[in-house]
Amino acid sequence: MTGLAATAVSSVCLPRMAWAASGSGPTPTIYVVHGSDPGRMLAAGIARLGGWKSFVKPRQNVVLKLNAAWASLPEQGGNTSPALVECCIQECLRSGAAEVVVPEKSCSPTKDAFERSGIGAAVKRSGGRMYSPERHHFQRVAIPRGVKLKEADVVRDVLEAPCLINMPVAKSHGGSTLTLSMKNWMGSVSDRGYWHAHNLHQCIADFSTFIKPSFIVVDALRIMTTNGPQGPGKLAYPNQLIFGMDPVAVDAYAATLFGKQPFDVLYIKLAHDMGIGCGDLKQVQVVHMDA
Amino acid sequence: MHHQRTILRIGILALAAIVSAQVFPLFSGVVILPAASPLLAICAAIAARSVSLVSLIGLPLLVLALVRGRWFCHHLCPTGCLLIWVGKLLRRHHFRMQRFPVFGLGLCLVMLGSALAGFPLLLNLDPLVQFNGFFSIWRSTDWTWMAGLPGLGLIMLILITLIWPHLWCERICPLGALQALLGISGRFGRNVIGRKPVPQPAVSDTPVCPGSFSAPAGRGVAGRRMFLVLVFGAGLGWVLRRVGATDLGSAGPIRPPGTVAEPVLWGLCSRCGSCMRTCPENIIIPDLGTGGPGSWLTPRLDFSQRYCNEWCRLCTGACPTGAIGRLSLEAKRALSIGTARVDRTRCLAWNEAQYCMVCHEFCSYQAVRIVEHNGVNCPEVDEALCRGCGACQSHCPAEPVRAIMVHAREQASLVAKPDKSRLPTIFVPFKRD
Repeated sequence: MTGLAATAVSSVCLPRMAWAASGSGPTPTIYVVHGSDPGRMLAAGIARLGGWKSFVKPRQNVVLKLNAAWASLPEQGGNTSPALVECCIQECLRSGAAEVVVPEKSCSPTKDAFERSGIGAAVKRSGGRMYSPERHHFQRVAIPRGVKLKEADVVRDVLEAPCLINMPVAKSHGGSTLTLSMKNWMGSVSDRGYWHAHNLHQCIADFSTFIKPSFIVVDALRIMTTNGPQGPGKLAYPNQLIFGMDPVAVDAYAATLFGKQPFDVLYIKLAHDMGIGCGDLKQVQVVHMDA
Repeated sequence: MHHQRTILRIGILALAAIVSAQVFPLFSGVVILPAASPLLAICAAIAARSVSLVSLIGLPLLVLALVRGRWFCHHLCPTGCLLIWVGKLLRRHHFRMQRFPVFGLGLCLVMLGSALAGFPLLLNLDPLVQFNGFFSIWRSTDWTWMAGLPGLGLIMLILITLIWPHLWCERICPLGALQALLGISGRFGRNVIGRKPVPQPAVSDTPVCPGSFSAPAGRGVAGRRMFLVLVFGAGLGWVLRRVGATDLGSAGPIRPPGTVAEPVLWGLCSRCGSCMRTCPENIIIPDLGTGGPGSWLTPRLDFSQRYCNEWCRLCTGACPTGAIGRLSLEAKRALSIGTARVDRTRCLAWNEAQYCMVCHEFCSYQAVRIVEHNGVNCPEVDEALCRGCGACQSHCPAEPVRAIMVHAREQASLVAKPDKSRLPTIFVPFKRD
């Protein structure tokens, strides 16, 4: 039963995976937008990726996977910037999306996390719908290429999204070294404990063999360099947004903002070796621009 | 007249149920019903040697009792209204009420006496506490049988009333006895004990009107006996407080933030269940004796699924007796209620070299330090920062026993001068020991 559902779901995901792979071409390209206004930076980055119209189809849902895990304030860098979230949802709706759905399984109690992060209010203001997934929102899927993670309960909206945006915040992490785009999916599964107990880095890489977002925007406006993921910790201000289709390349670049080599982060190395994407920045075309 | 009274009683019942079931949740709303009892307020104030804001909620009924004696019992008491109807169900009025002595007066005096000794006993017998305990259990989000325990009192009262109608209100209820007592001392007291013996029929064949105590002896004898019972209560409280003072140390139960120290809690807690009902995380559960014999049904924290949220202080505003003191959010966040300890033999990082650190991830207070061991990050608890909130324990993926567990400690603030942020006590004639 679950196997059947899983096959059906993965067949939904497969075309997008193929598309994403072909879209990034032989040498993956990532776009690093420098600036101070999240709205303009977002617009500039998306324009380089092909524009909103190429991702958001009229009258179809957009699912936004951001990071609103902690009951910490926007300036503390524990969660995605609410200003960025607001701009993104507004743009999606302007491009004809039927609804922007924001499922987030927070770590802190949901109410506090959504309120204190400012994201609950930002989503509401911009017309999206945010919710904390309950048991009935999850669907068990098989992860055929997983080494440690063979199956997972994933939020159904994430699985079925016609347009899936991954919008993590870059920050340090006690267990996984850094929280970047691949790590961000832990907020869409029900049993995070299993990942932690069964080689966290391998599970993070395994899940990225399966989940293929339409595109990735990493919030690196301010990054928490110590005491992550919850903080409060020391902050640095790269004032960047990182856009791309290849999660490994995006994460590899984001790792350098913390003064690390990409392969210092074990899951980037594992994902690179598994062929999920390219974590070797010499083979990645990094395009810097200002907005 | 009869209809008016019925309508009034239905209204009272509905209102009390709405308040205690927290239909319209307010901060501290759950405290209103039990705190309205003057008996609880007096005992708590005597025991604490101070009058808190919450005990003022009992003032109106105190004044009412001084003026009108037991008028409250059959007009306003929700438990009384309920029991009067239950008593009518079986139409068994033909039992000899006279055979039963007025336990209530004795109970009330024992409660007051033990409160003088700083260790109030039997607070749970207050009818408003019983009522609140039953109706507030429906507030629980995850209903477990443990959450239902504070509701058993009212069910017991109903069973007693089914066997002996009116017995509770007439003879046992200590709140009723207190009001009768206050009614005598009040100038306009209506219920006159001792001044003029009230003749009672040997068999009461009409629904007995609560509020008609008859004292067999004259005022002087009654007064002497009452004093002796009061002294007995004080002695009992003094002895039980010392007997109960077993120091379990870190093996004891973890209490909600702001809870008074251990043996005092056993007396001061009225077991009304308000704190358990008000906790949004449902981590406050009734203790079933892990904290010693007197700890039965007192609140204890269970971190097996969830933890005490940094930004919540609801339980500190839910206690009618001050067994859990009111704390400002700042004071609550600074308060350490326990200390986490890592068991390295079970820890996935220490023992299996897993990249885990869930405890570090969830700690809101930076109390989990990272130590590198065998090339992976391993957790170590900084006891000077640990608040004992249980976030680490509730999320630890080690199975079947968690590798990081919170152990009890004496509650203490981890920042200097926390008392400034405590909400004010109105009147403190004595320093509390």
